[in-house]
Order: sequence, then structure tokens, then C-alpha cells
Amino acid sequence: MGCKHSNPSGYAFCAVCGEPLAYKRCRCGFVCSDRDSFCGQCGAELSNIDSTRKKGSAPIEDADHRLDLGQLAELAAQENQYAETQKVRVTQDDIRKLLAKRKKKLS
Amino acid sequence: MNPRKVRVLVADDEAHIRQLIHFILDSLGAEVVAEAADGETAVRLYQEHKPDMVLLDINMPKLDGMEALKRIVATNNKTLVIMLTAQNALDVVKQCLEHGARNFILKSNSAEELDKIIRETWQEYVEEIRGGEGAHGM
Repeated sequence: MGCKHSNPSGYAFCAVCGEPLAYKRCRCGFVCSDRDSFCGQCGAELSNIDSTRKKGSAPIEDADHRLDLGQLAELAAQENQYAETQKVRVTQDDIRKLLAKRKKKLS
Repeated sequence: MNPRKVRVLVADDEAHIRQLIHFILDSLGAEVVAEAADGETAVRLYQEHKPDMVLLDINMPKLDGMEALKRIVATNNKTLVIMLTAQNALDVVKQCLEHGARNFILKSNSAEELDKIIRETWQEYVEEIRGGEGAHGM
């Protein structure tokens, strides 16, 4: 069972017991609490963003529920995949090349 | 006869960036018809002024630039929207282009570089706007 610690917005894992918390990731990349309505970084509305919590599962802090290893692995894989795409940073030159490539593709 | 002025909306929550862009656009002979400090206002001002070009930041309060981009493009998919942002993640650039942005300028460039990039971008699109009578047939 979760330790009931009240974690600040943006925490993906409980700071006390390490249990994964349900969260939403805003389009800007900022991790928000499952209960947040607006992103704490950019102010975007979060109502149309799905929480990471599995459908049908009880809220972590309200039920005797722990993610099994499969769910944890899936969560970690999703996080890694997201982190990978976030890692790729571009320069203005990269953007020029990307635009030229798109232009060529469209013509 | 002088060519008509291209009408631009500048949306950025940082006042000094809006000021810099305004200054550069003025020197290019553009008319900055409105400025917005958040995405919601940007969409409203877009609908009010129907500019030819929109320079749009991504991280803005109330409504982020990506959502504002979608709403603007949904109103008129011929509007020339150029993202001007500090976000330099590849997937963000790709998402913006997918949603209809025509170009992407990084704010992390120095003021001199920004000036140069905006001038280059301007040259690339200004004839298209004038030639096509603008997005709203002005």
C-alpha cells in the first residue's frame, strides 16, 4: 500500500516510498500530477492528456495497489522512449536541413 | 507603387523578445498589427486582425503555442505561422511542422543571429504572401 505521503506536483515517483505515481506529461515536456488541470510550466490545459495510470486500476494512493513488474517495465520503456526523443536537440542549421528535406519531399 | 505592408502578429510571453521582433519587422517594412503575451490572446487577436503572418512562441501561459498553432491553422490553413521558441527538441520541431507551422526559429540564437534568420525567413515568404494576396485576400 502507498505510504500516503503527499508528493508535490511533478513527481513521477513517491519521494518517500518510491512508488510510481500517476502523472500526466504536458506537451511541453513538463511532468504534472494526475490531478493537475493545467501545466505548471507552460499553463496548457491538461484535461485532454491521459494519465499514465492504467485504465481500470485504482488510484495508487487510494487502494492497496502496486504496479507489477510488467507494468513497471512498460512505464520505464515509455519513459525511456520519451527521453530519447527529448534528447535529440536541434540547431538552426538542423532545422534548415529538415525544412529543405521536407520541401524536396513535397515537390 | 509601394507594395502593401505584410501584416504580422507577434505572440511571445517575453516582452523583450516581442520588442526585438517588432523592431526587426519594422525595419523590414512589415506592419505588426498586434502583440500577444499568451496563446489565448494570440488566437483571439489572430481572428480579430487576420494577419498574413504569425510569429508564435511555444511556452506561453493560458494556451501553449502548439495549441494556438492548431487553432490558427484550423481557422485558415494558408496562414503563415513561424514558430519562435527556446524549445529545440527534434520532436517538438517535427510536431509543429506537422501541425502546419512553416518555419521554426530558435530563440537561443544571439540577437544578431535572430535578426539574420528573421530577415532570411522574411525574404523566403514575403513574395509568397504578396503574390497570393495574403492569407485573407487583403
